[in-house]
Amino acid sequence: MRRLWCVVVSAAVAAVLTSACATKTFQQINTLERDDSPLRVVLMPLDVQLSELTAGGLHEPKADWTASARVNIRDALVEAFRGRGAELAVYVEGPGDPQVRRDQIQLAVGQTILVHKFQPALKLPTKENVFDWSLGPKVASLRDEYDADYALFVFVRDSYSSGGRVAATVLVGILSMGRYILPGGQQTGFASLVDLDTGNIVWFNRLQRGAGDLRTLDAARSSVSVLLTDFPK
Amino acid sequence: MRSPRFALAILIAAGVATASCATYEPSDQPYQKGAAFRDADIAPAVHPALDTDEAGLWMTMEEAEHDLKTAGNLVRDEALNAYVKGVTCKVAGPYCADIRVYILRVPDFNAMMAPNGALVVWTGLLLRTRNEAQLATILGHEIGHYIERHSVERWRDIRTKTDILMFFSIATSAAGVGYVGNLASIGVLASIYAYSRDNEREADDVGLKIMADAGYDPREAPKVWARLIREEEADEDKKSRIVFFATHPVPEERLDTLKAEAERLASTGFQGGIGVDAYDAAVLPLRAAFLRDELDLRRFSRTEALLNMLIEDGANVGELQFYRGELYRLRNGDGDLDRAMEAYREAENSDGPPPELFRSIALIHMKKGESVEAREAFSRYLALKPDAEDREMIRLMMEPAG
Amino acid sequence: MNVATNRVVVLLAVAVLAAACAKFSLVGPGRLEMADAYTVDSPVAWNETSEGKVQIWTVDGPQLQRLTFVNGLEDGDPLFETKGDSAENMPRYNSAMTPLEIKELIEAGLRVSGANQLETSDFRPQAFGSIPGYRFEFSYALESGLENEGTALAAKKDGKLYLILYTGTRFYYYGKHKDDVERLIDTIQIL
Repeated sequence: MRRLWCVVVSAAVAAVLTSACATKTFQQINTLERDDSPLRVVLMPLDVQLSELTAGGLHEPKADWTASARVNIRDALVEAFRGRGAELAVYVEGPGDPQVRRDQIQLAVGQTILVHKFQPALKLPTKENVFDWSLGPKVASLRDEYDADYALFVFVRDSYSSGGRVAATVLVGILSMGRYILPGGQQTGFASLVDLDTGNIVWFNRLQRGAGDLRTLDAARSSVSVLLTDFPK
Repeated sequence: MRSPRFALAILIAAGVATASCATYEPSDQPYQKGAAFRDADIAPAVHPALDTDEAGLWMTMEEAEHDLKTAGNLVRDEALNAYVKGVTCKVAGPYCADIRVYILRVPDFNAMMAPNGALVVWTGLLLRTRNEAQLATILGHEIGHYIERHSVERWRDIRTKTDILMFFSIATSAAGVGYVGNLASIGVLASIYAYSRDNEREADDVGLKIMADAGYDPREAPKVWARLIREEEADEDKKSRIVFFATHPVPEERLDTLKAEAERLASTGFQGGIGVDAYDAAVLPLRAAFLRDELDLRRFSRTEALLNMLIEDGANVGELQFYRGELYRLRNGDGDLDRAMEAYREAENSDGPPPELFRSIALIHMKKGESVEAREAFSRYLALKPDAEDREMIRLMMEPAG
Repeated sequence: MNVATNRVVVLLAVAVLAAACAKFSLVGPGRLEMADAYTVDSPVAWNETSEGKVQIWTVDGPQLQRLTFVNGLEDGDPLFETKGDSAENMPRYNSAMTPLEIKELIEAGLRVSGANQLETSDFRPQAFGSIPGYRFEFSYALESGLENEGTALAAKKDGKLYLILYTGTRFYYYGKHKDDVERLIDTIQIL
């Protein structure tokens, strides 16, 4: 099977991913624009998956765990935003193209950020002290549909062994082969906040934890609070 | 959301037989309409409870299917989709509502059914089945695997034996691959996950029965295999097997059994249809694109055999002769320019060659330094296709040199 | 969302990806020399990575938009260098090719590299600096369905083929630097 990122990348990735940092944040802004009305953020469909790490090293996707985790993360996010005086509207997926295209471009940009901002070996010189990725102005349709100022995208992958979490090892997952999570039991993901007037990604956070069971609401709350570290006020 | 490739890996990965599987013995009961469905291992419209391992598999499949809906190489042509779905439904009987069909632009013969009812058909298959009954043969075979739960059994085997990454490797390289070059390696990997002989016999048997139930002539079934074998035998390079064969091994013995069983069914006075016209009406409008994909693979001896078989079948021969000419022109070996020109002349004298025929004839003339003839041929092309996107370049190329 | 997108193969050869493993360096703005054959004047700065005869420039990341230079292909060279199975399917350049066949070569190379639903339009003569070249527009989708657009400019010099391909996501990133690329093309000077 042809690997599409070379070994150098994997090694660089490994080094960063096993670092002790729980999160790493990039942001363009420290405060969210708002007028008198409460801030409205539309929560895009959560890309969350939980799996079980079997003795043979297989990641077996768990439907019930994933369903719980999605609900828990969503509820924890709604709570967290309320606590910040903002409203989180949950995007309702309907038929048709626009959301698919937004998803695709969002993922492409998210990956690009993870690869080129979080991996020193692959950094882009023109982005040295700059964080200016955008989804482009077409996302404004979301603003109109939901009367929202911002959109939040969340991506989380986690795996649990039946005997508890396994020590973290290389997570090639998001960065190289996408969803291939090598044995490790790391909770990983990212969140990005998009300004719906401009399409600019104003805040991007990578999540990486070795602890926290997303099958419970408490752990989801704590993961969410880690995920929202340095979220603009 | 998992990749559609993952799900389809499970499909391709029909797996190695476990020791505990009983040997499959086809019944020698007389043909009874509907019997295959009554004896199936899965009832229609069944959905596993959320906490079973099957549910986890189901979830993965659902998300993979979600991705499949937006795949870059999904064929969206409504007429073709309606047709293939229609044939699937005829064959699937009470399971029709459980099955969703996806056609992917991949130039090889393959069809796979996920344990959740997603059925994937590659366009290379549509190029190689000659009529509706032959298409129904393969669909019936896959539906047979589905209703006898062979895929789910495979997943259980794989869980205990195989590294998930290997699984994912197949997932990404399998089904719907845009990288045509991967077909060789897919075949190799897929063969690790081949259906067992018992599964195959069972699917053949069930497939024949449900095909007959749906009103198709079961004697068309062995012809599909025969055509594929003929194509493979013509392959001088032997770079890659037909992917379907990797997961569905076809020793001669199976072909004989299939023939015998088909004859037996037919001899019970059963009258079945073949359906050439409906098939052609659905597939011919898109055939040129599938032939172009085939040429991209650069498996020239094999494609040549396929084209010759299609020419024998006789539908839109002008188009087929044109592509035969294109094959020689692209191969560009000794004597190929002349072979190409000969094929193009055949195309000119047959039904339905595309306007591009004359552009290619012009290219051959140019290579031979025959500039007057080249210009004539280019003119004919432009006359047939005045809005050709390359008209500006061609007018430039028509100008006398110097 | 699926693995295919995550595989970060936009298209245009595995060599490109292998190249992407190398560090990116800053190029431009200003006049830059390309493989001893010609120079261009870039209005903006790019991040460059290169391997063999291929140079890739990007502002926002190769998965989002990229300007690919294929420099000096010779008789028998594959259009894009690849490793693995698709290497066998990669069509090869030969110096006797007419412009029509070169367009065919590029199209087949793109398809073999993973471009789905490839469509081309507006194939026309266009100067490559002071030598006659040809140009066409195209669009395609990745395995994931992510739609991309592209433009291609090609020319032969001393029997060798020079290609400039600019591709990017239809959603925002192709358009972002299209004008910069057009301006750059206008400044080609053959050495």
